Order: sequence, then structure tokens, then C-alpha cells
Amino acid sequence: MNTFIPALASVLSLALCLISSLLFFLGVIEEVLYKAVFLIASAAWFILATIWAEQRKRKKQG
Amino acid sequence: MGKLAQVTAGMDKLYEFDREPVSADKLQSGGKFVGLFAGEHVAATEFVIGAFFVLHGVSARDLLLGLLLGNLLAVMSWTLICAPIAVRTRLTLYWYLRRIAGPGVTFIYNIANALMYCILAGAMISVSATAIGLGFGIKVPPLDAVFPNSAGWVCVAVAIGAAFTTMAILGFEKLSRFAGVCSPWIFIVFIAGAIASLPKLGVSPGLGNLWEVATTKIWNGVAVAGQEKLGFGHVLFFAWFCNLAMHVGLSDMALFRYAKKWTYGLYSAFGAYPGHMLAWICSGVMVAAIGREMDPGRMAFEAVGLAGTVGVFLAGWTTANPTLYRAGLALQTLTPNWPRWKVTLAAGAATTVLACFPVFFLKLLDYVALYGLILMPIGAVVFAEHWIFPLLKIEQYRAEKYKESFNWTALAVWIGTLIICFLLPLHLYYRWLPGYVIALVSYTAAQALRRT
Repeated sequence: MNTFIPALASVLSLALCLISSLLFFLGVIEEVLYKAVFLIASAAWFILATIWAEQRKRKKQG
Repeated sequence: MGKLAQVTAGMDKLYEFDREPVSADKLQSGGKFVGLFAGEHVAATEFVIGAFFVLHGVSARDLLLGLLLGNLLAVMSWTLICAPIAVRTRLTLYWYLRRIAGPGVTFIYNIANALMYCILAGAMISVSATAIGLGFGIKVPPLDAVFPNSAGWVCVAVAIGAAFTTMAILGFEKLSRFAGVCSPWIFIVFIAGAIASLPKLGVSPGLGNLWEVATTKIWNGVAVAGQEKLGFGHVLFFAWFCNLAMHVGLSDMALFRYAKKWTYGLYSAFGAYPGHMLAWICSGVMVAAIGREMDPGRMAFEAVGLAGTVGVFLAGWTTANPTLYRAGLALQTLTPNWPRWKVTLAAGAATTVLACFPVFFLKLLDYVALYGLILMPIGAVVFAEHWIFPLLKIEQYRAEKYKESFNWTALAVWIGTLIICFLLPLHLYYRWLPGYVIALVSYTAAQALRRT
């Protein structure tokens, strides 16, 4: 089973959480947008990382 | 069979699964230890501890130096004290202590540990309560509060305690896996929260005035009213002893018995520095941005929005879950015939009652100090028996050899050390170190005298 795509996508969503705060700090985006992006990226992380973890578990079980 | 024999037989049965030393084929890679430490040391308490350093008027220089050196000492304690004994014995502290101090003392140690775990889990629930309470407009009790300040606080604490306990009963393992998903994200909540709080404190995008803001608006060296002023030594010792029960107290023998080499203790740096340095710095920044008010829920909400509140709640949940489990396991020694769910329910009920009293989370720094202090003498007893006794040709493992239920010397050293620590004219944070030396010397001397 290919775990690469959910792994990459979940790491990217986590990175997006961090980047959104950096963009807010640099004044590129507004606070409301930063918090909305963080929330959506967080939801994506929980979904994708759970899928990734499940796939890894199944892969281990053979 | 006597009552004590019945209890210890039940207790042994509970820990039967890890009775044998870990075999060579079960040893784990270094990567596993990195993951374990990184995941375990970013918890709900980090939202409180880092913020308290600001409230206690720690200066920026004292904080950075104290955390750098204190965490180094903690990593060295894991590497030079805990890991070598674990790798040589391949046993958990439970089984090794049983050989040294007998089942009676091990039983008392277990109960003390269970009570400590319950209080810690109660503090975690209180932290989560600040997040949920925010949605209902429930004010966090003031810093000097011992008792709950509103019916709302009690309702939220009871509701969260009941929910956490139910989840711990229904799906401890699933929740542990969920905690694995949560921990990297919670770490990001800390980092992002701090970054996003910087503009509110007046830090310019070029970071040119970062140090000036840090020293004047965050760690400005001025304690808030009613809070004790802390300095470099306090921070250094706090970072060192905040996991005292795990390294010097040897609880983490349970982990390091799976290590290939004692040098795996160095992997604890992956927990200490991100969790007990970076996360504490981040929560300090966040609390300064909300006007130095101890309210983890509001602090994270202002910094990260709704996700921040969820982060505080989940941090409390995912760390209370294993704590409740461990408390249940330790308490099960009292009631060996009870099923797992019943004992977790009892531990959860006790924890929920404790969570209603905000004193445990508002005095978290002192509680963490006491937690380590109370269990530390047992670590000294085991250290002396393992390393010093062979050097001085003192007989090891007498309790096991002569089938003694109580190693009275170990028990007397434990209680005596705590009494002396209580009387020492030192700040609470500094008492454990002379206490450790006292326990080490007095236990060795007492057993040497017994030989002659």
C-alpha cells in the first residue's frame, strides 16, 4: 500500500499551519485569514495523518 | 495466605507481562526513542509552565541560560543515571525495586505514584477546562485560588473529567494512537501561537527589536502581584527536576530497558529541548501577549484562534489519558480482583474531583517539584544498591535473597529523607539535590552497618 501520498499531504498541511502564522507575522495576510487557514490546515492534518497512520499500521500487519 | 502476600501476588500478576528482562530481539532502534521522547514531552502542562515563568518575573537571560543548562542536566541524568541501570538489568523499576526493597515497599511506592498521577491528570483536566470554559464565558480562577470560584468551573471540570475517564475506559489504545497524531500538531500550535503573538507585542517583521521586546515586555524580570520572583537558579533546577521521577527516580527504566546502549539516554534531548525549552518559551510569549493572565484556553485562542483552543483541549486529553491509565494500573494493586474498567473509573473519579480544585494547576510548578521530590529517594536507594554496593562489597538484593516483604532500611531512608527535605532551609526547587545525596549516603551507610 502506498503511504507516500498521505504522508506528504499531511506534512504539507502541518507546514501550512506554520507558514500561515509566519505570513501573518510578516504582515502578508490578515489575522482572520491566518486563523482560518490554520484551522483548515489543522483539520486536513488530522484527516490525512490518521489515514497515514492507519496505512502504516496495515502495512506493518502485512 | 496473609493479606500482604495476597496483595503482592495480585500486584505481581498485574505486572507479569514485563517480569522477564527484555530479550536481545526486542531491543529498539534509536529512532523509536526519538519519537517517544519528542511525543511525550509536549503536553498540556507546557502551556502553563512557560507562562508561569513570565508571571514569576524570570528575566530573558536567566530563562534562556537556565533552560539550556537545566535541560542539559536532565538529559545527562537520563543518560548517566537511568539508562545505564536499565540497560544492565533490562527490567522495569517495579521489578528491580521489588528485588531491592521487597514487595511491601514496592506496594507503597506504587500507591504514592498512583496518587501523584491522579493529581497530575487532574491538572491536565483543569488546563482543558480553561479551553472549554472559554466557550461558556467561565472565568479561570485567580492565581491564589485553592477552591473553585464558580459552579460553572466545577461543571466544566466534572464534564471533562467524566469524558476523559470514559474515553480512557473505552479506548485507551485507540486514544494512544490518536495522541501520536496530535503531538506534532500540538507542537506546531505552540510555535505558530508564539510567532503570531509577536506583532501584538510590537516585534517588527525584521526581528530587529526582538531582544528588546523579549527583555521588556515578555521576560522583563518583574513578577506579577502575589507571585514569587524566580531567577536563573530556579529555572535551571526546574528544567532539571521537572522529570525527576523519570530520570533520577528511574521510572524511565521501563523505556530504556529496550535500548541497545546506555548512550540512548541522549535521545531524551529530543523531548527536553523542544518540549521543555521551545514550548515553554512559546507559551511565555503567548501569555505576555494577553497581558500576563493565566488562562491557557484564552492564551491559545488569542494566538491561534479556534484551533488553539482545540489544541489546549487535546493536549490535556492526550496527556491525561496515559496518566489515568498509569494511575489505574498502580491503583489496581490495591484491588487486584477489580476489572480494568472499574479501577480506571475509580482513578478517573478521584482525578475529576481533584480537577475541580484549581490549586493543582495554579500551583503546578510547586506540585511538579513535590512530585519529583517524593519519589526521588527510591531512585537513590536503587542507584546505591546497583552501583555503590558492589564497590563496597555490600550484599545486594537482600530483600529478594531473604524473602523480606519490607526492606525497612529503604523505607526508613525514604521517609527520613523526605522529613529532612521538608526541614531544609532551602527553596523547594533546590531541596531534592541534597536530599538525593542524603538518601544515597544514609542507605549505603545503614546497609554497610547491617553487614558488620
